[in-house]
Amino acid sequence: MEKKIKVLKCVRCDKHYLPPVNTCSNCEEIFREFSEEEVEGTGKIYSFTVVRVPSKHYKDLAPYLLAIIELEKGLRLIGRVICDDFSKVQIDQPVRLVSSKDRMHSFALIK
Amino acid sequence: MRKVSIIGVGQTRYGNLKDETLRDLIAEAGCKAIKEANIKRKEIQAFYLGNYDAVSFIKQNHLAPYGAGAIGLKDIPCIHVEGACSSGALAIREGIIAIGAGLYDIVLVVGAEKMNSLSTEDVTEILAQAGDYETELLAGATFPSIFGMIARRHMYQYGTKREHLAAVAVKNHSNGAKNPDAHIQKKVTFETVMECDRMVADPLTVYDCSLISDGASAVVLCATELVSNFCKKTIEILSIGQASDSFSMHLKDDITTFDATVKAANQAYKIAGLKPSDIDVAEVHDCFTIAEIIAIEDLGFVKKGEGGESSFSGLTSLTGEIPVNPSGGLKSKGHPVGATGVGQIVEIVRQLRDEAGLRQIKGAEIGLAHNFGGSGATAIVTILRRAN
Repeated sequence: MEKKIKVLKCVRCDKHYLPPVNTCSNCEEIFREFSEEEVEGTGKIYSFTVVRVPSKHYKDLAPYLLAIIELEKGLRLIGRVICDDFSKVQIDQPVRLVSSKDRMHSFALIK
Repeated sequence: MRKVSIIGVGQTRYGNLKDETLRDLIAEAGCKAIKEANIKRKEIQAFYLGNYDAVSFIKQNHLAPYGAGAIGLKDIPCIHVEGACSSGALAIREGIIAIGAGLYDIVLVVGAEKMNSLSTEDVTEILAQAGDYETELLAGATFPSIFGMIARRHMYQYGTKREHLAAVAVKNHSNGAKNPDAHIQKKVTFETVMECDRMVADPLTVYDCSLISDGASAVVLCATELVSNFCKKTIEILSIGQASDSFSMHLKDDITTFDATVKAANQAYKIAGLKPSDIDVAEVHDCFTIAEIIAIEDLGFVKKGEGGESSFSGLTSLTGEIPVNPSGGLKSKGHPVGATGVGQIVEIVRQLRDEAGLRQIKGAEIGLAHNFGGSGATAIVTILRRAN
């Protein structure tokens, strides 16, 4: 089954956010009511790098490929892309979510 | 608002200064600036300290009176200002506002950081906390990786090349070699940079990253109407702009431009009544080589997308049309995070006073400093002029 990602939608203007969000920045009036939705865990790579000098937090994971992933509805997140050959990865390449653990989302390339 | 000038500057050398504590660094920079301004300590009416994270680096909090005590300042208000890598320029701006509003006539501003007390992994983690802990650091990002993604996107959108990044590193090392305060005073060749395979966050190698440095810089600010009492070589602050942007880099519409820089620069140019082509020399925030390329675009020195090619062609060299980072920049002079924004102003002051030695830009009258924090959530642009 395709993995999905939980998002929040402003009840007034329908703008979507990935959590955390505290107020809608699109609404002129202060508005803080959101409904929960799910979006497809598929997207494309907006940009990427390979983390070779990690922070202490992920020191056992490096080197790993890190990317900004563009999901539907203009949503973006930072996630890891699991792949064997970093040199094959390109901007605009499609990816799908395979797991989410703690705050790290991991994606795989769609061939 | 009353106008504000700089009547004295001072700084420590930047580097891996094993034998010096944060207290030592603050004292050295602060005392040098006070001496140069030719004032007595008791004439200083307030003290501002820019520092990013002494809590993590050396387990010290309540920093403003800690720093003031090191300099021997007594009784006056002491204020600590934090804005990640822009802490220094923010501290200067607070001092300017206070004098401008008529609260004080003379204040001392010091920027300082002691970073070489921990391992690179620990420092990487602490610096990453200047971004969003939840959505960036816990998602796997580090600071170099954020700028690696920015570089990759700039390459994709504008055809920027590895060669262009390398040209920035070569130029800044060449300038730093002429700066006795610089962390690394050594030239590197273009071939060495291009052949380097020590990747930090692709496409950025160690030559694209600024340094982990210790150091402190200081300026004495004075109401311009009173400067004739003090220093002969006064530098006027024409304007200082500040703006903010999305806290998380990946939520910006376009990651190849820093909106906060553009907005802060527009404020500064407008207040000063100047345009980018009026600037004779600039110190910009090159935490990574790509950041300098984007800065010269955002500051209006070149068109959007042409920063790489312009850097490669020598536009920003010491003898170029718009010399950028004559000090060596964060890349070679070093990047003691909280000191950097003050250190940039120290360099511009020295340039405008014709005191920059081998790296002097001939006839420089108007200078600009650009300091930013995190991945661009805070930016400050300051324009200074040699007083006639």
